[in-house]
Amino acid sequence: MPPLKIDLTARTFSRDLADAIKRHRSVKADLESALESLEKDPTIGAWIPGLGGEEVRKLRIGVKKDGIGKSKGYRLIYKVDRKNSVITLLFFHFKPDLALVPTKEIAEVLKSLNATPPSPAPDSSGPVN
Amino acid sequence: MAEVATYTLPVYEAVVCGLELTRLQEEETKQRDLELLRSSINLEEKMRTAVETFQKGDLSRISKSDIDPIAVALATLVSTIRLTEPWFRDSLKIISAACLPTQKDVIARIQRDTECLEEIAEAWCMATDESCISEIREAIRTATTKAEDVKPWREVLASVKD
Repeated sequence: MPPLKIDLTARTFSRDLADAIKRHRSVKADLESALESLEKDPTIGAWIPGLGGEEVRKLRIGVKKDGIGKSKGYRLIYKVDRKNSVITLLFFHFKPDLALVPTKEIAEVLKSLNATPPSPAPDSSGPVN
Repeated sequence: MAEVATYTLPVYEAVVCGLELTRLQEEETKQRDLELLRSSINLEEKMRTAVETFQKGDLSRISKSDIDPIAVALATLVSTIRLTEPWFRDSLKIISAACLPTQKDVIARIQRDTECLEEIAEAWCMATDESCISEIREAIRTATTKAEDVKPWREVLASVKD
């Protein structure tokens, strides 16, 4: 598969990149390294479901020179357009405190799962036609 | 001679018993190490399968009602695996020298898989956040560059002021 084109001109991404460079000057080098990998394999990021037919993924990027690891670093969010072989970069957020599902939501889902009656087991003793 | 045998036989028996105990202990250690390796390899294989399923699969048709429970399951899985990290580190202190390199390698792979699963869990958790999804939809709507107009990314990135 030939390398995909990468579009860096989305307004939201340009804004985020400018903010990122103000915060961490060396982050451009880390982004460049991530884009090298991304153009060869867009699936290195994780797919964000729930966006209809759009393939939108996120990739964590650390800031090596500042000793910031991937989990405490930036989240690059991008759209993969396989038909046109283009990756559009959408956001580049600094999320050092990003939590997984908030505890409240976990509790709500568990509550709803407990409230759902278990589906009956298949009845093997039924009539055979 | 009989008197000598009276004294040497118990000593001989004790030595044999001691050697047998040592052999059994070595056998037990070997079994424990193999079991430890087997469990670690098994866990790593399952984690890799999960990572590949989520990374390479087509998730475009996942329904909204499926997202919440899967996001919670992934978050729980990542938290659980993070809890086992000290146990894996400790296993390196007790495992025999022969099995140590393999166990080290498996643990390194488990750590890589955990990071991938954490990335995936984060993506699913973002999908549970309506404001985040709306923000992404809006960004997609406004990003209108045509494929033929996309400039080489290295040039664009180089032109961004430091």
